[in-house]
Amino acid sequence: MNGQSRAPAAKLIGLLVLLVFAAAAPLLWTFALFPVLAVVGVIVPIQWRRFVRRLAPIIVIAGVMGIGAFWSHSGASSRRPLEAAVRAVVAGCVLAAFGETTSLIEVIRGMRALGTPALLTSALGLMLRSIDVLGDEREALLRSRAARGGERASRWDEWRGRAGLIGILLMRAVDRAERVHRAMKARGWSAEPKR
Amino acid sequence: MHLPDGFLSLPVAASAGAASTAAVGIALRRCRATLDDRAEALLGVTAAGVFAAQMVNFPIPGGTSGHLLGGALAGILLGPWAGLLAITCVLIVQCFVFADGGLLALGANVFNIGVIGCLSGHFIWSLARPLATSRTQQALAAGVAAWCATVLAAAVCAVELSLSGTFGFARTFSLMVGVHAVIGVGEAIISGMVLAAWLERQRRVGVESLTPSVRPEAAIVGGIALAATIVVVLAPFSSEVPDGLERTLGWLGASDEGSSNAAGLFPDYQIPMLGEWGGTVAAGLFGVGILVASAWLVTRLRLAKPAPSVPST
Repeated sequence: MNGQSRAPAAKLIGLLVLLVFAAAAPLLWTFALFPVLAVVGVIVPIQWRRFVRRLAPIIVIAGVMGIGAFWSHSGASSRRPLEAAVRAVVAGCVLAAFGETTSLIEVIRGMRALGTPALLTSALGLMLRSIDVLGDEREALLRSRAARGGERASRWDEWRGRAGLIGILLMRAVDRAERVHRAMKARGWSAEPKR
Repeated sequence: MHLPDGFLSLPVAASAGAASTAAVGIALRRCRATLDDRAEALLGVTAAGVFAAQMVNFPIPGGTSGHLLGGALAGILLGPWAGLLAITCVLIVQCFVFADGGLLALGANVFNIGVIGCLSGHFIWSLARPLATSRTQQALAAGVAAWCATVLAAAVCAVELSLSGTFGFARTFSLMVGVHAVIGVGEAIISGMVLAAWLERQRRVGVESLTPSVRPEAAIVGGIALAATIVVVLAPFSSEVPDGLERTLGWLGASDEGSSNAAGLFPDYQIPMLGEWGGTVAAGLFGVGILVASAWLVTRLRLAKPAPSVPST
């Protein structure tokens, strides 16, 4: 493990420790994580508005699941569902703060340093590079469909059109994958690392 | 169905994580063996394709919209192992970038959506495929597989939540399965339509599936094993509460306990001499056996007829 990959690996382990703490420590102790996150937010600048946007769906899901847990016990034991919902929000704060301070490239580097198989981390890296390209392709397909009057179709035709669009998108992804593979081979890439 | 952290107990999260790690390990070996050095590019870019496909919204009456979940479809189009890895990559990105699904719960999410969703979707589609002789029937088979995979994944998710002690089993199981039976209809329609579009384009362009399909014998054995496991594992948890029909009959004053079921072969899914649990399991396994035999008979009769050739994935 070199210096460049040690920091992301340490960050990932730190994240896991904090999440286990949020899940297993006595409930009141988990609130100690909030000042820790505040300090991290001061040291590593966090965009608080984006952080809140990231956190909002977690709070909603935790609330709904907490109510569901309460209902599923017929309201007999209210402590455990409430506790689970609070823990979910605390863990969500930790995960959102991690996402704000760590890029996915760093996560992949950390996973590689921690021994995750190379095929999975390489696939993740290539996925990361392709998401924007295929996202643009999806938008272009949707735009061209709208330009052909697709938005005015009946609900059933609208679904068929969009499903066909997904089919084309996946086909293009496979085509693109073949081209990426040929380009990698042309640059001397091999699945077996050269020693 | 993306579980956040906090709702699963650590032992359940760790067990699901271990099961997912084992399944992903097998998938990595199988993909490396079948795709060789194409594996990285194909998995990475098609995972991005699945991710982009999940962003296409489908309008639903009432001013809302839904999107493809994609577990079963990935298993059908990419093959079970490549599909599992593509979904795993998508779940990892969703967890770290969008905080959609927890990190401690990542193993459970991979297990539910990837292992159960992809593999069962592919198995069910492989079982139904010999009966599908046209593109429409293949799309229908994909829809059935997607619906079953969605409901099965929801059922497993409910079991994990109740094993964690956070949720009561009976209500959670019926709610999760009930809600996902409805969501599964949308998933089935979209999956069937996407497969039809894929087959149409494949007919024109000629693109192969990324990994070979599961052999029919393996799919049959896997399907029977899955059904038998569900019977044996879930039988002790079967609810004592009357189902919807029994409750309605009760309200109408039409229920007649003891006489309506007594006429059946196994009254109330029980075999008296085997005790409560053993009787339920034996009756369930007997039912699975009858279904397998019927499916085998129908398939034999169907395959005996000459069928027009169709493009294969």
